[in-house]
Amino acid sequence: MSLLKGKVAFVTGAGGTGIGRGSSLELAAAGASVVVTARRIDAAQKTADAITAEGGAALALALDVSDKAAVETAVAATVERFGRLDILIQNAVHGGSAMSQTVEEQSVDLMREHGAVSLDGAFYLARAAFPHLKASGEGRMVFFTSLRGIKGSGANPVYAAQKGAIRGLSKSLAREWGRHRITVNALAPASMSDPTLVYFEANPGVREMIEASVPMRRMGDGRSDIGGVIVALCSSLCGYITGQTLFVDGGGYTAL
Amino acid sequence: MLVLGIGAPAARLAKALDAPLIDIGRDDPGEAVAEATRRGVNLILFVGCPDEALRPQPFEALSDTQWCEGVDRPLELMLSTLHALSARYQADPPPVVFAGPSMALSGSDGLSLLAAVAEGQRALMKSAARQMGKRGFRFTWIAIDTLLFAPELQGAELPKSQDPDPLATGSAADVGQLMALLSLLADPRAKGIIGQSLVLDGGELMLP
Repeated sequence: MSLLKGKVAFVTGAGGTGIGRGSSLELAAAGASVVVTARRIDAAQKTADAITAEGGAALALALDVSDKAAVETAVAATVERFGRLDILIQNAVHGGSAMSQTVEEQSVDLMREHGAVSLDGAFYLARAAFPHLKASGEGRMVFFTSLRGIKGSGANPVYAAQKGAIRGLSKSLAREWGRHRITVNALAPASMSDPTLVYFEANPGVREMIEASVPMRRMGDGRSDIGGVIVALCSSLCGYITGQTLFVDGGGYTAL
Repeated sequence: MLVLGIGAPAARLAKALDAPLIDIGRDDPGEAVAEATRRGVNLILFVGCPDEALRPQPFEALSDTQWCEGVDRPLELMLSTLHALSARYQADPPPVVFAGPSMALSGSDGLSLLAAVAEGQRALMKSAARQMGKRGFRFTWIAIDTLLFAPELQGAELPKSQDPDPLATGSAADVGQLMALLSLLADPRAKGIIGQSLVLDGGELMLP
């Protein structure tokens, strides 16, 4: 499969075991050169090594998306190494996203900590990547949102607020960047990931409850379920899909 | 009714609805909510739309400060207001209606701050409704016709309807209709309406 041959992708939060890594591996398997970023270089390198072992091209970079200068440097390094940037996948999220807390327990300082990654990080990345996505002629920007950003969350209001804000940003950028042939979409996945695992361990029975509510009766896989959709969305096959929130959740949410 | 909020839309709506306004950008949200309890208001209208978000401009031209003031800060003010509501109202809180422009539901060219902050606040409203509803808090959202909410956006690149006759009612929403909707939501018999988003736009958008 070479749907993305010649394309260059940049993925944040790609050092764990979930969506970022799975998306990176699938993008590379589809022919894209992938810049794998994570806060810890060893984690990013692990994913990059896995790509290389499968015959793909990858560059690992340490990146804290809340650091504007670091974001700009990483995007510049991408273009210097590969000559272009066509695909930006913003997956990085605050480590406390899976925590269950009440509104009262969630301080403004905590909201700032979350927002530095989820919101400010998305802003810095999109702004830094824009000229390159525009130059691509077929740019793709994908944000990860969440069902919680749509339905709200009784477990983590701050996380839900920021995932909602990402949807607003995504829809506006889609309208603004369409003239440059850049598509902008948000994905709401139900997938296993490091934070999800932490959440399930802290909340026994929740996994079974969620899986029972999903028509497919299982959580998604970061690579085969989510990564595959990312590849399709970033390919020429999906150049007319923009401004959407796509649920990749085994049919868990069907209210729209 | 008491209006808590920031920015020109809060001031304008308070004036149009003949309701007092407390500017929570200037005054502490805790004090604002305390004032609501002293007055025994039957409804609180929260309008957290910063002026920063009302200036159309290309996304790539936005500064870090504009992003912070346009998105981060208003979300924080809303969270602080929720904290104050939780602390001040031990029983029988009034309904709280949050409001934003209808365009935020669709996004808009050049108005990424506005869509981001409104959609973030809307998701926070739903979450708070889920958590605090059992204590009697009733939170809802009204997506107000964009030009009624923010007439300064006349001329902005707002989402265009694909329908040649887009308004089901034949005319744009007005302040009288907003007042009627707020009166409905203030009625205790409307307690089953919680966490919902109601669109007041003359029947243009019609959410899926």
